Amino acid sequence: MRLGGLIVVGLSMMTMARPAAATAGYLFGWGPRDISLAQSDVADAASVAAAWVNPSLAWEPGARMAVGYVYGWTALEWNGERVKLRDIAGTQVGFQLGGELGSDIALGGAVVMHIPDRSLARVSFLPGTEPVFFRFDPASQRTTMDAVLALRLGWLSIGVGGEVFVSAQGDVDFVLGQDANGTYADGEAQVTLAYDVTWLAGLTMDLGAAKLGLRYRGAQALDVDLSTLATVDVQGNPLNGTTKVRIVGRSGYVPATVDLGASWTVGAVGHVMTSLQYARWSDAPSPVAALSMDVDLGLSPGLRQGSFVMPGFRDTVSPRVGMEMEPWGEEAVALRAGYQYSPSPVRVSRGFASPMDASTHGFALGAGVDCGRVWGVDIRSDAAWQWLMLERRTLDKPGDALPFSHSEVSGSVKLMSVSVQGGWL
Amino acid sequence: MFRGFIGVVLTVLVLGVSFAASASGFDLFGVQAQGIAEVSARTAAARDGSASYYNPGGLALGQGYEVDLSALGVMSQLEVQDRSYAIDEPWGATVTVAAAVPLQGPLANRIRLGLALQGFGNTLMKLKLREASRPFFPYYDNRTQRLVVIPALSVRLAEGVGLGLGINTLAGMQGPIDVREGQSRMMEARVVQEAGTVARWIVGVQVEAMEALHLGMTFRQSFGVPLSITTTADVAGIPLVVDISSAEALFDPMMVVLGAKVEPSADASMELDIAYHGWSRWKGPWLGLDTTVSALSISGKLPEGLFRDTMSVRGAVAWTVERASERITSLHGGLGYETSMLDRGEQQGRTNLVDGAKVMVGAGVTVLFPRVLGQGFRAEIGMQMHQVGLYRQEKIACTRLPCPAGTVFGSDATAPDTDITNPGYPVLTGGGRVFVGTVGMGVDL
Repeated sequence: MRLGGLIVVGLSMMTMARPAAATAGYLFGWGPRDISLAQSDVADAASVAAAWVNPSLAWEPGARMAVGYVYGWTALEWNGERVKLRDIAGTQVGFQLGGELGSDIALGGAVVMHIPDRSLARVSFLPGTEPVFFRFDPASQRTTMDAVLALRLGWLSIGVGGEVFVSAQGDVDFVLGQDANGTYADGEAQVTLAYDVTWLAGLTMDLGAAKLGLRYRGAQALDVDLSTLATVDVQGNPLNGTTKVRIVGRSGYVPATVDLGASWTVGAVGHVMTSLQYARWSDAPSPVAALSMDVDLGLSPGLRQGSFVMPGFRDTVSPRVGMEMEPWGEEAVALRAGYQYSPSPVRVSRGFASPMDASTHGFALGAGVDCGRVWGVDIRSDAAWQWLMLERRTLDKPGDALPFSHSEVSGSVKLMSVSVQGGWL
Repeated sequence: MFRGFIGVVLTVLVLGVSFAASASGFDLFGVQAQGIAEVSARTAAARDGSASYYNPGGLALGQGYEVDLSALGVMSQLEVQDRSYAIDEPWGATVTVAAAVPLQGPLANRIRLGLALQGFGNTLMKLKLREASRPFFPYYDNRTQRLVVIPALSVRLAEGVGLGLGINTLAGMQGPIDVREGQSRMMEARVVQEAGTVARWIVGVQVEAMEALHLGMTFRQSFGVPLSITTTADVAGIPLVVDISSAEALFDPMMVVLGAKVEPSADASMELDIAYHGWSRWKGPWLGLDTTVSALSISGKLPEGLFRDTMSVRGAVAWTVERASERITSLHGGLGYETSMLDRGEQQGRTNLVDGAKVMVGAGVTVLFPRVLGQGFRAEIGMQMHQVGLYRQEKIACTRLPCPAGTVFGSDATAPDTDITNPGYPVLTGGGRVFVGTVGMGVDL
């Protein structure tokens, strides 16, 4: 009985091969400036990164385009052993255009993208009982694209936009049969990837020496709904029959977040920034797909169902601080530093599931240089480095009989980012 | 300044979508109303955003900034085995953009970017892999059901010489799956799937040989989405291995197109294109299966050698019938012929593919309003019809074992020519027409 079901399950899983819905930007930020300020720049975002950092700041007059690259060396450990997680790497492209409509009115838009090095997307489902660092893989291995519009009305700026991702729906029919010429295998598959959008919004108040910012990003998850039918009809085979399987799940969940930020100008050459991020992890669905098998093989039970319960994560609040200095004049050279703390949303598991995570400290440094005008384009170069360190954490389940009842997690991710920006002002 | 901004915007629009996806409703019907009306005979003429597909080299010989948007619908009157054959996702939209990169110095007015984008329905991609015996038209089946995005970069090498490069990209799927009973005593799966990037080139050159003679050549790499999944399982010591593969789903063949355009007067132009389509390398639209259940190995046997390369000839005329200060009206027409991708001399067995030679006829109207918006606002309509020649093949029943290739058979090994359920038996027939209509508008900035 199980073999037919397994065939169907396997074939069903193949159609999940599309983007999970989490982002490298969620962990580190987007672009060298945001990364080096440890995502504290919600109230004072660079225009070219506004689609990610704060949609309301995409109005600045002129046009800017940035092309950059990020690489993160992943070194997470579980029970003292290095976990085989892929490094976080990809190309980042951003664009922003704005224009003045009046003395205190401006309108603009921006787009940012993160494109992973090795594939457009990676989907990874581990067995429900196995340890998984769900915040790092496959969360950071998918393409993201954010587009926003912004309007400035005097001291108030507002922005809205969306991030595009896809959902998957599929059907697979599979036959192992026999005819006059012998046994054969035949099958038919249809996989549909439909667009989906999560919303972004931002608000900024420019109070002179101080700025206040607010950002909202909607939750994301890849919805998967797959139905499959396997038919085995081979003469003399005791496993002949049909098996219907439906798999429904949500993969690569990223929580909705609300960020509240502030920025102060210090003297003539510096800015200090801070932000608080509320992440609604409590809405996270089970990271394991629910599975139902309706088996007609003359055996019992004919219907098997399996699902893992909601993970029961807790909401988190993450503080970030940053500082930007321009010691040799405005925007000629900028030096940056930042720190972020991100509490872990994972409680100690009391069941089969074994999510692994620990709170993280992120230390960041960076710099930017104005390179002057080349062929009519204002060129700027930026670089950043961030060290995201996991606190050492012990996770002990209430019973030794449960899988992976004792775990210790630790490690770090070291990430560098560089970019070149062209401006038409 | 404004035009510079527009250039940057369009540049980024091109770059912004270029990672996403591509291949071809364009191969089937053309790009925008003018391309559809002229049955894609545009290799030497295209200089707007549609040149991203037709000939990226033509982009650099154009000027300014152009944006075109159109909606199109496809209606099928194809029949196979006396049943109507529909084309999925018949409604779509096309956007094309051409933009000069706002640079100064030695690169001023030399680099231009283009984008051709087409989507059908609300899906990024609808991938279909057919069971071997299903009767259908592989030329029309599962080729338009995806987002098409072709960004292109073009450089004006010298006066009247443009060289361009476009990229077709889409994601393939590869990776292992392992399914077994886990510690929870439930079925648990380990899945790692990569949506890897597939990229193929479009290279084109366009030359103004004389004032009234333009030449163009375009090469398009074949395009297909790979799928390769290996599933392993082990339950109670019984091993299971299932390999699923498709080398080239959503396939477009390699193409080489040569085109020449002449302008006998300021109000008239004609183009003739000759194209070679490399269908013979296609491995087909089927799901490949290779399974081992316990000690029993069963593999799907995919047919080979069914496809052959094709040639097409396409001609187009454009005639400006009205030229006034407030309105310029042009008529477009096209006529084309393409040979069948199926080798009729190759006897089909289990498979039931249908295709015939195609005659393509197109017509359309473009009205330019120079004073309405920017440098000019265009309204366009275009339509095209494909007449697909009748395909007919008599199936051959297997009379003795082992059954030879190219035969069909029933389930009884002692009498294989009885109880044959293959839907193409005893005769496989198909043919008909496909209609495409489009309405669009465009702006020159």
